[in-house]
Amino acid sequence: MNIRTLNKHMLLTTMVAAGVILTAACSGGAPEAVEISVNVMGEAMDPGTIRVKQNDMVTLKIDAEESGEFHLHGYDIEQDIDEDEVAHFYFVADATGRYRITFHPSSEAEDEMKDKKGDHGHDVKEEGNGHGEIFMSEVLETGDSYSFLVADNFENQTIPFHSHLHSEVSGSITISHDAPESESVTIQIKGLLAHPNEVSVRPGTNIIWTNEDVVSHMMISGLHTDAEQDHDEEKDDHDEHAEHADGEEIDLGFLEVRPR
Amino acid sequence: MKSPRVLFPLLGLVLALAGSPLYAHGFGERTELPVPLGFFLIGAGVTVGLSFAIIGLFAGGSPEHNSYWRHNLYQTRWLRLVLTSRFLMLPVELLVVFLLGLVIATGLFGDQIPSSNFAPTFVWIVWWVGMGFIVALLGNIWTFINPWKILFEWAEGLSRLLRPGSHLSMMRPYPWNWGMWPAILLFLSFTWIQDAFVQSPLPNRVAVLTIIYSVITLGGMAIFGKHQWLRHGEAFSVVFSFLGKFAPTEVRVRDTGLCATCEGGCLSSNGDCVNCYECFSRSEKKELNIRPFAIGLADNENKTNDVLAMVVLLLATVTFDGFSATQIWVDIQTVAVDIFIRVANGATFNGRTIADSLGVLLFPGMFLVIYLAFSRFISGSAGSELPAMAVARKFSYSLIPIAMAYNIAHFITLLLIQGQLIIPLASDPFGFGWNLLGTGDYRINIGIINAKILWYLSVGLIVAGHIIAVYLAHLISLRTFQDRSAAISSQYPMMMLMVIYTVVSLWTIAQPIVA
Repeated sequence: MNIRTLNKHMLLTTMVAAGVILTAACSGGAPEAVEISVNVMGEAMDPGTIRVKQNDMVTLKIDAEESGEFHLHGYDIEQDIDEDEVAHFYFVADATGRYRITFHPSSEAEDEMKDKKGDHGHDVKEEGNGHGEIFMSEVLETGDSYSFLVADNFENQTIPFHSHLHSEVSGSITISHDAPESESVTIQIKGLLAHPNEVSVRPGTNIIWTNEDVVSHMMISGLHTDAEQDHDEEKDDHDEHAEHADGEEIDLGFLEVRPR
Repeated sequence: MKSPRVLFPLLGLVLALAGSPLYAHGFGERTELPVPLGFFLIGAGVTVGLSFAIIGLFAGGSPEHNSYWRHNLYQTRWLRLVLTSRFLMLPVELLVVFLLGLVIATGLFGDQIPSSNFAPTFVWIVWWVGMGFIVALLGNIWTFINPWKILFEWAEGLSRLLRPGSHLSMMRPYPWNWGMWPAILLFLSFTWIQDAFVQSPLPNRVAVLTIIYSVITLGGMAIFGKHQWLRHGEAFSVVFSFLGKFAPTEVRVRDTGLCATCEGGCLSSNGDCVNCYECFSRSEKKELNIRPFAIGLADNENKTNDVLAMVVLLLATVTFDGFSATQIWVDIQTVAVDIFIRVANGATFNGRTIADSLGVLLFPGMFLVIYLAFSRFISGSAGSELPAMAVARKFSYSLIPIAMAYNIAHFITLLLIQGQLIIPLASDPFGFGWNLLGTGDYRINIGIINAKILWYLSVGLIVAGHIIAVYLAHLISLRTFQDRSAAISSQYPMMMLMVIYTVVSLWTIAQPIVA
């Protein structure tokens, strides 16, 4: 028995196996127009993996709870999604593969804030609840922290805060002279929760948020819902390269295009 | 930082780091579909079935294993003239040295978004993955286009010109007991950078590491001499020489007198030396042969512990690179992040890095232990007195085809899809918006290869690799154990090990690559 005979056996067996696979895998059919509803919430989407077949004409009906840019990698299609209406994201799934889908939340509110950040404390309104009007941190990677010094003029106010990247992280700071005196109060962010999430402090206290989560956060004053109101009047007109400047790119899930 | 434009590079950096799990291998986004269950099951079934079929074949008779078919390309006159022409080699040498310089320059001074810079795509995808493919499937071209070797030769030539009779190298005697260990340590470091170092896609890091490695390599050649360092210390020359054993080409010198004098001690039992580039560069009686695939792995060389270590490291590295992108490993990372949150929670150094580092270090150890245990069985079932270590050394090459087939299945999509990035980057290597070659606007064609073809290819390759591995192990067993029945019974444990390794490889390509 020499190599040549061996190769023949191998070839034969491999061909038989390939034949079996072929019949098993070929569920075929003609390309279809498919519509898939996709819900984008926080840092996930439902379904987590969108499955279509090659050459399907796909319309994703995207319902997002936050405005932003929906990005299908590989195909490299981006589309701005408005939180108020269901967006139609159309493409022909001509290339097989498994492609990442990400979301870049809109950041006009942040940009506005960056300008205000320099002089926070001066023109703060009574309510102080506006989205990002009092303070906003940089992107906090795991292990980073951010501090905010509570100025005297906040007395008897409650400042809500949340993470701009993961809005489920939220809490509030109540400023009162009755609160126990301390130089600084630390709020840990871990497991997408703030510990503690409600603090009561005197004016002049330094509030320190430390990110002990695996994901990034960006601590910002105001309620999450304020952001949505802010976004309403604004239209997205970024430079297309600005996508990365929007802060975190959130991984929503995958598109799987399987061969026919 | 008022202008968002200033923010782009910085945020790009942050995002590159934040998105690190997707870059589990050095750099590059993966887009392959996992191989479906049916393919996996059939692949695994065929693997097991064929393994036994082969044992049955061998029980009847055995292939010739002392020599093999080969054809000398130099016999064709024009081919010899072209392949040995200085006019061919000089432009190639200039090009590779230029590329080394370009990697350093773009890495240091170019845009720091990894996908906009020439250095990460070139080093991690085109060179590391692409060169591995070429060396394994075509031949060890690295030895002729190694930029550090070329630079050193240029420097040597220059120094001879300036001071005739002088040597650039100090030619310190290479400590024989170091063996290939310097290359093994350097390759382990490279593996760590590839699989655990979060900043490995960053152009600047690529450039700095390239500079460091250049200094080590040129220094090693200056101290111990070019050939000694290339054989023992230059990690990629060593790694590619192992992959090149699989290739269907070889360089051979038929000059026993000369082969006996080479520093590398590459003389083989039949009086020739194969793939010894030191002899090849000095001899007139040289051949460039075509030969069957993988036959180079059946050689009769005496294998030392460093060879065993290098092979085990290669096998483990390839497997870990795939395994680290599966859900299981991501779960392990998550646990590690929780465990180490107090001591390591930075963006670069965190629980994930610790888990990956442990993986890079422990996988080879785990492979070695398993392999030694099976070597013990092999020795036992052949009724041999050989210690497990000796068996492990003798059979070490036989596992390489499985790893190589898996490596190709694992990386082919990355090379074909993400590798296309080099086309626009060739026109705009620094990411400054240039369009030097007119390819700056090229968009990656993600449909270049269909998933179904990839599935057949991947499963087919791994099964074929397995068959070759079983065949090689059989050749080695006939050499190692005196009588045929001992050789055949020694092969049951080996085959079991190979089936496990092959099925693990198949399983890995059947896993979705997760972030």
